Order: sequence, then structure tokens, then C-alpha cells
Amino acid sequence: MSASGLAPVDLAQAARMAQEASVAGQALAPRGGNTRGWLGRPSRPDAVEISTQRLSGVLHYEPDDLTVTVQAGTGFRDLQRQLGAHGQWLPVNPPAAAGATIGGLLAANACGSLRGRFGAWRDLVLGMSVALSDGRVVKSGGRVVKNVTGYDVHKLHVGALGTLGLIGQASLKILPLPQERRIVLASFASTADAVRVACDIAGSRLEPAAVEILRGRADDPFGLRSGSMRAGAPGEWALAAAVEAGACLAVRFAGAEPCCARGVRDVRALVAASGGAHFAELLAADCDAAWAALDDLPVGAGAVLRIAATPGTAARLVSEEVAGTGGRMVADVVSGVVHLLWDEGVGPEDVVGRVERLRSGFGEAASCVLLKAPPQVRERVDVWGPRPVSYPLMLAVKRALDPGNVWNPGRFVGEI
Amino acid sequence: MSPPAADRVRRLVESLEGVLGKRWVFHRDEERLAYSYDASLARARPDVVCLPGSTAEVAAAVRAAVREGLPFVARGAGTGIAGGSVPVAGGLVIGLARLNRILEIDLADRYAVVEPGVVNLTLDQALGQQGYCYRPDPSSQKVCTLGGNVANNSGGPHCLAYGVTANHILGVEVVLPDGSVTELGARHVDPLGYDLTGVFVGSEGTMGIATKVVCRIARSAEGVRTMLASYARMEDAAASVSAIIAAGIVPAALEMMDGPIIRAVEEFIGAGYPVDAAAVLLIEVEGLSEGLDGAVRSIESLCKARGARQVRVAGSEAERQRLWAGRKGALGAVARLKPRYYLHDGVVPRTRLLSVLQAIADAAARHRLTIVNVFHAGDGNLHPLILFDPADADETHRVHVAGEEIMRACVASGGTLSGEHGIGLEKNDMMDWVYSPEDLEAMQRVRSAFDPEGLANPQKVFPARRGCAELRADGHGGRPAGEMWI
Repeated sequence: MSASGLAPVDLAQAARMAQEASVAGQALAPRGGNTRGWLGRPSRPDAVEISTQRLSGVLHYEPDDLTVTVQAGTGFRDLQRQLGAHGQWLPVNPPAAAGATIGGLLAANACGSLRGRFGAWRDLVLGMSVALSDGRVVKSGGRVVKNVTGYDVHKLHVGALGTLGLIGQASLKILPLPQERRIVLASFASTADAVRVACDIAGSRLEPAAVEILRGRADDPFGLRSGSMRAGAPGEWALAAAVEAGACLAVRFAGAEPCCARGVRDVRALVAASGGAHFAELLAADCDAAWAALDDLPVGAGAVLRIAATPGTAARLVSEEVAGTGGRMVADVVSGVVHLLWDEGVGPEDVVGRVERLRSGFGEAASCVLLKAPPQVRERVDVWGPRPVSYPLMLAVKRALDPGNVWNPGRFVGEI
Repeated sequence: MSPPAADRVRRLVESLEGVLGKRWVFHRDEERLAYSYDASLARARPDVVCLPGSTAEVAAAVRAAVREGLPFVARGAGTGIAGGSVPVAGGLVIGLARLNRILEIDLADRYAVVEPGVVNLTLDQALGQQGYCYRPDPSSQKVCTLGGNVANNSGGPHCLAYGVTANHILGVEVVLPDGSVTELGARHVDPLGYDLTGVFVGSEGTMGIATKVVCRIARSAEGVRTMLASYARMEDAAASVSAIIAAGIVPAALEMMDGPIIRAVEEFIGAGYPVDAAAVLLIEVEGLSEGLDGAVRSIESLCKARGARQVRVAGSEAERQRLWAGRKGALGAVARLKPRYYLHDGVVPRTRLLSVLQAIADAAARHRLTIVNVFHAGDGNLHPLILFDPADADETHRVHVAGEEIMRACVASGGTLSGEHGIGLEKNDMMDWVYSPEDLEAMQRVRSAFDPEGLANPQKVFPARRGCAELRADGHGGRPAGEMWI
């Protein structure tokens, strides 16, 4: 095998390569767009990369079925463009989507803040074909939207970071593009006020697409002004200004025009009633620019801790944590997913201390995954955190599907 | 029963009685008979039945069965249509009826924790008082249990907009087949590690027994509009379904009923359906009030453009409930048409609805059978009901042949064997129509990770190569068709 990596032309070849690796005791590391090398524990140094770059393209797309079957190496944005040409979309908004592949995003379970409204990858994936390390290509599920025929084995591969097999193709549920999108930005002097309004909106019947609280540093709100973002789009400037002004609440709507308008109106009233400053309502191109910028915020730092908790727990965390850390924060209060972002100014000791403190505080009430961290931090803390109680079963599943331990060994939870 | 087997059963009874008390352990013939069926045609008697009252007792019961090498089968309300809770290999039936408490409802955290024997509608009603709901709504929701919903990944009319059971389960406490207790998932999204909850839901009791279920709860919609579109031709109704989906509208529910169903419903329930129609669509849109009128107008004009004779919007909540009572009670109404029916649960891509409905009509004509349709059209989830008289052996044979042809048409269209009822005993021998031996073997390996001995609900889901005759030998009694739902 070449050290420069493998690039099978089809899934059958990928499975044969995996079988050969298994016989040779070689580890394989699946690679899509290589946009998330920072995720998880490091790959074993001797692991050979196996790329999905030649497993690319849409295999089956009948727009009126509202489903699509794609090969894993298909670019996420390429797929969105193809669906968009038919007035449809895949309703997920992962951060750092530029260059990412469908297979990679599935393996990383990279969702965004739209998940509370439209579902996460596990809710959108209808079926999969996967290359196993015994040389077989196996499928589960199908391409219809309801299916209880056999086990949903494909759900095991979502978020498994390629440790059970190489995802070769997936069938996904898609939706008609919303008629309209809008964003309301508001800022609050106190984070607690922002949280209260955010929870009111999340618990209302307004059906927002996303409700996020952003807390930046006053001197550089998420790099929105310092050039890491595309400069000059008015939507981004509005976002930057809202973040600079205090705790920012960003509420997104996607749907029929009268529903978006009603949502914006009601949010405005809630903000006014709670003493917040209503900042901007973004439409059309401004909305698009801010929408994309918001999507990317959660991973825009050198160290990022992703906390998944219940919505109420997440809201409490946002209120309490901000004072303590000095870091930035992006919190999806609908799904209960909070990203804490620490810049270089926060030393490795501090990051380790904060991660450990949060983990022990939460216990089993949240999972705290260090998405990104410098090596000095990774050496001292497990990026995944303590093993879940069902870890023995996870190990049994790994042994059942990848007995030769070929697929991405060591990178996942509990060194799977 | 061979003597060693009889010994094992006797020892099982003794140890169960030791743990649960005699009151909750049953092994007399008539008691075993009561647990020998579900709503499918399959029948098989368990050796022993027990009704544990706690997770610890479920675990003890499982340990007692596996210690004797006997299989165990969990049972909820027995409304399954695929034989999933029928103890085809004998052994122990573990009824979960006593585990029927809602343990926790946390509105701020958007979850509820329930025991498996809680009835679906009971949870929904408890939440409804507070403006929240549990989304999956199987037609049997008045009686089916959430544990059974988890086992079968149950659907329901409103899955079109909100997804199936798997999309609404955050975690489960499970008694594994070795009698140990573990927790899969969490109360929040994205628990660490593999999505074991995702694969457990829908595994039909073959990976263990859920003893607690963490359900995601949702805010109920602000407004709802329900309409009934009636047609002189079934194909116009099917074309309207495709047109609605193609126009970018995803209603909360989009159900179809054909002429014979409409007339049976009217006679039995009186839902206000037009009895001279060849088909009706029951369409519901939900959401913010501002969006509803526009959605109703669009749907109305799409339906009329495809030949709807009339589109009626329910003018009151009472009228809406009546329209739904007809749909949810349709299966019971059909029981008036013929002594029995055979029900399928195929799914097809939505663009293939019309051609597969035609294939069903062709099969009916070819085999001289009456086939009626009531189904989740928006999802492409068909429910053809083949009516027959079990006393007529020739007709009964033709029912099986036609049923197989219909399922083959579903699969050939890019669809699959079951959308919401499960595989159970009924369709396990068809699994190789959609999966290769390698696919099935990989699924079996996952099962083995949970259940190495294969004692959790054996002979289900995977091909067992039994004949139909054996399965359906003791016939057509059991649960009256009037107590079935789809």
C-alpha cells in the first residue's frame, strides 16, 4: 500500500482494500474533504488514508420524492447547489462546510443550529451503503421516507468518525426551499436577559429555524471585523455590531413569508418588553451573508468545547458561564448545544481546568466534547470525556462490525 | 414437550414466582392462550407469562429465562400487525402492562421519561394540557404502548411532517439479554459514542427490553386546518398527492382512502365523507396562523386542478375530530365488509404512488379479490387490505399470491417491505428481496453485540424459512378485526 493514501474508484474496491488492510494488520483512516482533522483523538500514526474523492456524485435524485441518494465524496455545497436548482435543500447548516463532503459530515455528525427545527443527520439519513473491513459492502435502510425493514444500522455510522466502516453512499430526506429567510438580531446588556428572551422564543409557537445566543469579545466579535470573514457584507457588519453591543440574540426564520413576518414582529415585541435593544432585521442578501457567518461561528477559535445538554441546562449554563470564562460563546437554546470558544490568550492550563470543571459539574447531564484544542491541551485531557455507561456495548458493536480494528482505530470515544 | 424442557419450564416458573410472587406469573393453558397472539394472523403459545412491576423484576425475569436457555419476548398492548410479540419459539412472555407510569415531564428541558407500558395517547394528553405534545401518533394510539412504539419504530399520520418514533426518542433504559441493565442515549441530543438508541429503536425486541423511554416533547402548533378533498377517480387523488409534495408544501398529514373504505367508514362511523366518491384525501396543515390560509388555498387549487370534485375545510374542531375519527377507525369499519383481511404495509417513492396503486388494482382483478386502500399517501406508505373469507381455501390462497405480487411491485418501484408495522414473523422471509445475505449478516452481527445467545425474541426480523401454512395454522381467530388500527 502506498503511504500517500488510497483512493478507491468504487465502494467494492474500498471494501477489498479494507480486507487487505485487515489481513496485513494495517489501519485505515477515511478521509473526505479533510475539513475536520481536528475532531477526535489523533489517528494512529501508521494509518493509511483512504479517500472518498473518487466516490462522488448524485446517484439518484427524483425531486418530487423529496429524497436524494449521493456518494459520500460529494461536496456538501455541490449537493446544495444541485438541490437548489430544483427549489430544494438539505436542511442542515454545519460549521466549516466549505470543502466538506456528505460522508465526512455524516461521520462527524456535524450539524448546525437548524437541527432543532429540521432534524439532525440521524433524522435525515434514510439508508446507507458502507464498506466493511471483511471485504463486504453492506446496506441498511433505503430511499423511502418511512422504513422499518431491518435494523437502522446506518444510524450507528452517523457520528462514528469512520470507526465502523467507510460510508460509501447515503440516501437523505430533503425539503422544499423555504419561501423566505429572515434574521432578527438584538442585543442585551445582561446575558441573563438574552437567555430569558431566547427561551421564551424557543418555547413559543413561532417555529423559529434557530435561536442562538452569541457572546463575543468586545474588541473582536468572532473575527467578524478582523478579516477572518469575507469583508464588507452588510449582514456581517450588522452581526458584528450586535455582538459588540453585548449579549447578542440571533433568531432565524425560514418558511412562508407571512410566518416569517409574524415571527420577526413577535420577537421584536419580546425584545422590547425585556429591555433589550433591537438591532437589525436582515432580509435577502444581507440575511444570506449573516446566515452563512452565523453557521461558521461555532468552530471559529483554536480551542472549542461543544456541550450538548438539555435546553434548560444549556440556558442555565449560558447565564452562569459567561462571567467566569472570558471566552466567546455560541449557544443554540432550542437543541441545547453550546459552543465555548477560547483564543490563544487563554492558556492550555486554563482550557484544561475549565473543561474538567465543566465535565465534573455536569456529570451525565451533558456531553462535553473538545472539538478543537492545541496539542498541549489534548495531551492532558481526553477530548471526548469519560466513557458512557453503554461503552461495553459500543465496544461490542465495534468488534462485531470491524473485528480486525481496521477503521480509524483509536480516534473515537474511549479509544475505539 | 420433552421432559428436560418441561423441567426447565418448571424451574422458570419457580424462580419467577420467587421474584414476582405467584400473582404475576401465569402458566395455565388458558392463560398462555391469552398471550399467544397479537393483531397479526400468527399464533404461538408461550410456556410462561409474567408481568413484572419494575426494571429490577424485568431484569430478574430475563435472567431466569436465559438461565434455563429459554427465549423471552416483550409484550406491550399486542396491537402489532406483524407478529412481533407472538412467542413463536415458546419460552417466556414478559408483559409490560404494569410498567405504565409517566415518571417525569420536563417542559423546559423538552423531554418526558415514561415506562414502556404507558399508552401513546396518555402521554400526548398529559402534555396537551400544557400546550405540548408527543408527535408520533399511530392510529392505534388509544391503546398501543410507547414501549411497543419503540420496538417497532412506529409511524402514524403526522409522521409526514414530524418524522417517526426514532426521531423522537432521546434515550432508553434497557434490560439486555444477559439480564443486566444499561442506558442508551441520554436526555439531551448527541450523547457520546455510537448512536445505540438509533439502532435499538425499531429492533423489534431482538436487542433487549426497554424499561424506561426518554421521549422528546414538542410545543403544539398554534393553528391547524383540516380538509377533505373528494374525487371521482382514484388516479386524480394520487396525482394531487404528488402535486402537493412537488409544489413544495409539506402538510402535517396527507392521507388517502378509497371508495370502499369511504363507504364502510360512513356506515360504521359517519365521518361525513361523500359516499359516492372514488377516493378522498384527508389533508392537515399546522403551524402559525398566518401561514394556514395560504397553505389551504394552495392545496385547494392544486387538488381542483387535478380533478377534485370538492375540497371541504373543517369549520370546527368537532368537524375536524369527526374527519379524523373516520380515518383512525377505518380498519375497524372494514371488518364489516368481509370476515377477514390481509394487510400489507409497503412503502414506495412518492412519485411511484400512482403506478403501484395501479399494480394493486391489477392484482385484485387478476386474482378475483377485493382490495381496499387506506394509507399515508404523503409518505408513500401504502396499506392495501385484501379482503377474504378464511372458510374459502381457494380465496385464501389467492390472497397470499396477490399479497406477494403487491409487495414485489413496491420493492421494484424502489420501495420497501414495511413502513411502520415491522417485519416480525410476517415478512421475515421477504427480507432477501431488499437485502443481500451480506446486508442481513451485518445486521445479525449488530444484534449479536446486544444478544449473543439469540434469546431475545428469536426468529423475528430475519429470514427463518418457515412456510406460511405453519405460521397461520391455528388460524383466523384471535383479536377481532374491529380492534385493529393502521
